[in-house]
Amino acid sequence: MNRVLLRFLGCVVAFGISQPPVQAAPLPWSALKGKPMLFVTGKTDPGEPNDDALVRRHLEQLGFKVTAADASVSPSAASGMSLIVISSTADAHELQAKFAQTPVPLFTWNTFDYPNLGMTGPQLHRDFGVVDPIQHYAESFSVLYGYGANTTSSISRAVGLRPQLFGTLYLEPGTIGWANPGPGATVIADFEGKPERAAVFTYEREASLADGATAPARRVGFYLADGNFHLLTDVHGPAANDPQVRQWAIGLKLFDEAIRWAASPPPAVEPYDSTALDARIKRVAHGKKVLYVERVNAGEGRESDEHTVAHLRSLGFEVTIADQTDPQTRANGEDLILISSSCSKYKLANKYVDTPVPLITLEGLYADALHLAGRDRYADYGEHGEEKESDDPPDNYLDIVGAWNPMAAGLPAGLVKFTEHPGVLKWARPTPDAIIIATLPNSPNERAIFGYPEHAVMADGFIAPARRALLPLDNPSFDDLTAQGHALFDAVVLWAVNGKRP
Amino acid sequence: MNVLTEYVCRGASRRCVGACALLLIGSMVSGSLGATELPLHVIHRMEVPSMTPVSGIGFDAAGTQAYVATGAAVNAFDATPVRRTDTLQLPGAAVAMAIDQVGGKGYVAIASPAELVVFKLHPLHIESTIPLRDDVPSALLYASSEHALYVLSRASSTIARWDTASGKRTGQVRLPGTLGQMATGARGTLYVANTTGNAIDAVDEHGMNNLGAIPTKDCVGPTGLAMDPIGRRLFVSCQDGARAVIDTDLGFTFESFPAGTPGSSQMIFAMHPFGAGGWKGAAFSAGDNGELAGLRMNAFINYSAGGTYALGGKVQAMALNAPAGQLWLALAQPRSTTTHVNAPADHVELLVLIPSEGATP
Repeated sequence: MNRVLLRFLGCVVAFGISQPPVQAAPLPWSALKGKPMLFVTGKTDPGEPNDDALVRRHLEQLGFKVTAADASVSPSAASGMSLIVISSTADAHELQAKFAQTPVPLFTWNTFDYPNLGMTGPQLHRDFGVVDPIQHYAESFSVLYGYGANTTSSISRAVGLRPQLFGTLYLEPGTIGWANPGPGATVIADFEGKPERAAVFTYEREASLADGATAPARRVGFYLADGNFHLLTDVHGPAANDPQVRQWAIGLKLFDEAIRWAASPPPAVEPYDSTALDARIKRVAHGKKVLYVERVNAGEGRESDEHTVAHLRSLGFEVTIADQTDPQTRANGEDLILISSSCSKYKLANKYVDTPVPLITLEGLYADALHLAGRDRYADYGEHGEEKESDDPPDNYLDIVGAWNPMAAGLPAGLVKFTEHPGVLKWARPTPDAIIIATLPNSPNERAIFGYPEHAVMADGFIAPARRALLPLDNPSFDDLTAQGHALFDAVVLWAVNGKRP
Repeated sequence: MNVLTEYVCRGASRRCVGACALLLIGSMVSGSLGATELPLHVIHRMEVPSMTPVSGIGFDAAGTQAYVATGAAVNAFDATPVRRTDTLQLPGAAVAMAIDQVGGKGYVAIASPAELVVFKLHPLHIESTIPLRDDVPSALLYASSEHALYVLSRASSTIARWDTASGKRTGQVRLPGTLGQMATGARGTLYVANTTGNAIDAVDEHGMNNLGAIPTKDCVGPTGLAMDPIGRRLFVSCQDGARAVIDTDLGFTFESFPAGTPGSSQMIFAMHPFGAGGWKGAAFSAGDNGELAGLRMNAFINYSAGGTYALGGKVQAMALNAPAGQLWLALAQPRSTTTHVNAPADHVELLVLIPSEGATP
C-alpha cells in the first residue's frame, strides 16, 4: 500500500472519528416495518369525532406493529416498544407522568399531557393550549395556517419545510394544540410565526426538557386533536404537479416524517472527555486556516486575544490575524472566521455577514449585524454583568440544554461552570433554526451558545451562508475559562470548522 | 319498438301522493322508506318490458322532456306529467347515452356494431352515425364546456375524446385498471373512477394526458363519480358502500361516509336538485345494492349523509331533472316472489321520485 493511499485512509478514519453524526439519518421506512408500537388512546363522547382508528390503520400501513392501550396502561407496557404514540383521546390526568422517564421514543398530540411529560411548563394558556372552534372561533381558522419555523432539522429536510406558510389541516375550523416548549426543544413548525406557539416540536434524546429533566428518548409534540387526523393536508392528482401546492399541503407528510424521526435511533453522544476532544480537534485542525479578527494592539483584551490565538495554533490551526478594520476579503480561502470580543461592532461595519465561511463570534453584541438574532438590543440580544448595559449581575455559569449535540462537548445537561470568575456573558435569541446548546442560568430565553447550520433561516429571513455560532466569551475571559469552558470553546470550534464545504 | 307501460300516479300531482305511498307499501318491489330515509317518494312508475336494460336517462335544458335509452330505442317523455311522447329507433342496442342540453342533441353508443348515434332532441331524429373503429364503447360523457364527448371502453381501458362540432376523434388516453363512471366540470379536467386502482384518475381534457390519480382513501373500489358544475368537488361512491367528497384543488378527500350496503353504483349530483328551498346540493348514488343513498351539501365545504331509500332492485340508470325537481331511476326488479336484490330480474321499471310533502331535500 503506497503512502498516498495510507494518507487518504488516515484522513478518512480521522474524519470519521472527528465528526460524530450531529443528526443521525432517519431509518428508511423499510427498516421500520414490524417495529412494535404502543398506541395509547381513550374514548370520546358519543357523536364526538375520534380518528384513533384511522391513525392506527395509518400507522400499520407505515409498517408498525401496533398494540393499543388506554390511559390506565402500565408503564411497563412500553418495554420493548420502538415508539409510544399518545392520542389526545387518552385521559391526560390518568396518564399523569407515567411515560415521562420511559426511555422509549414518544410521539404525542395529547396537549394536556405535555406538562406531565415535561415537554412544556404546567400552565394552561401560557405553556400550552388548545384552540377549538367553539371557544375560539376566529382563531380556529388562523390555526389552519402553520409556519415552517425550522428548515434544517432531519424532519424539516425530509418534508422540504420552508420558512413560509403551509396548510396544517383541511379547510374546516379546526381544533389544535399548541405548546411553548423549553429551550432544549426544536420548534419545527409554529402558528403565526411565533415559536412560543409551536405546532410541531421535538426533543432530541438528552436534550433538556421544559421541566429541567433530560429527555430519556426522543419526544415529539404534534398539533392534532381527537378527530382531525383525516384532515391533515395532503395532495394528489393534478394538484400534486404544482410545486407550490405540494409545499402547502404537507400536514400528513410532517406527521409521517416526525413519526419516522421519533422511531429512528438518535445520534450517539460522546461523553465529556477533554483529552479525547483535544485529540479530535487536533486531527481536524491540521491544515485548516482560521482568520482571527480582533482589535489589533487593543489595550483591554490584548493578552486574551494572544492566548486564544496561541491555543488555536497549539491545536494545529494555521491562524491569520486580521484587524477589525480590514476588508472582509481577508476571509477568502479561510476555513473559519473567529471574531474576538475585543472588536468594536461599530468598526466591524457588517463585515463577514455574507461570507460563505463558517464563523464564530465571541462578541455577542454583533449578533444583530450577523443576523444571529433580531435588532432589538436587550430584547433580542444583550449581556449579563456589564454595569452600563445590563441589570443582570455578572455570571460564570451556563445552563446546558443541548447536551445531545457535539457542541456541548459531551457535558451533561444542567449548570456548568464556564469561567472561574463571574464576568460578562453575552446572549441572543436566535430563530428556531438554531441549535441551542446553552442558556444563561435562570434565563431560558437568553441563549448563550448556539449554532446555525449552513442554509438555516436566521433573523430577518437571512440564509446562513455557512455555519454560524455564538460563544459568550468576553474579551479578557479566555484565560479564565474552566476546563469545561475550554471544552465548550473547542467543541464549538470543531463543529463550526467541520461545516466548511470542501 | 319499446313500449313503456305507465300504470301509476300519472300526473304527479300532490293528490296522488297518498295513493302512491299505499301502492308502494303494498308492492314487494316498490321503494320503501327506511330508518334514515331520504325524504323522497315515487310519483310515477312504468314498466320497461322484455327485460331490456335502460342504458341512459337524460333531459333537455328546460327539464320538460326526458329521454330514456333502452334496448335499440330512445323514448321521449314529457316530464310533468310523465307521458311518453315519441320513440327513436336505433341501429342497435344502446349501451350508453349522453345529452347535450345546450346544443339540443343526444348521443348513444352502440356496442355492436360499435358506433355512435347522434340525434336531435326536437324533433327526435337521428342526425348522423359515426363508426367507432377502435374500441367497443361502454359509457359516454358529454362535456359542455369543451363541446366534447368522451367515449369510455372498459374492454380496452381507454377513453376517446370526440369533438362534437366536427364529429372527429381528437384524442385518446389509456388508463390501466377497471374504469367506472366519468365526470367533468368546467375546469378542463376529466375524472374517471378506477375501481381496481382505488383511485380517481385525472385526465387533461385538451391533451388527453394522464395527470395523476387521487386515491379514494376510506372508499374501496370506486365506481360512481359525479362533479359539481364548477368543477371543484368530486362525489365518489365505492363498491364497499362508502362515499367520499374530494376537493379537486388539492386532490384531497375531506369527507368520507362509512361503508353502507356494498355494491357497484353510479353517482349523480345537482345543485338545488329539488328547488331553491331545498338542499343546497345533493349527490345520489345507486346501483347493485338496491339502495338509493343521498349526500347532502350543507355548504360547499360541509356535507352530511342525507339518508337512504330502499329500492328492492338494481339501478341501471338514473338522472336528476333539477328544473322539474325529479329524480329518475331505471330499476331491474326481481320476481315478485322474492325481495332479494340479487334475485334474477323479471322486468325493468322506470321510477320518478320527488320530495315528500313537507320535506325539503
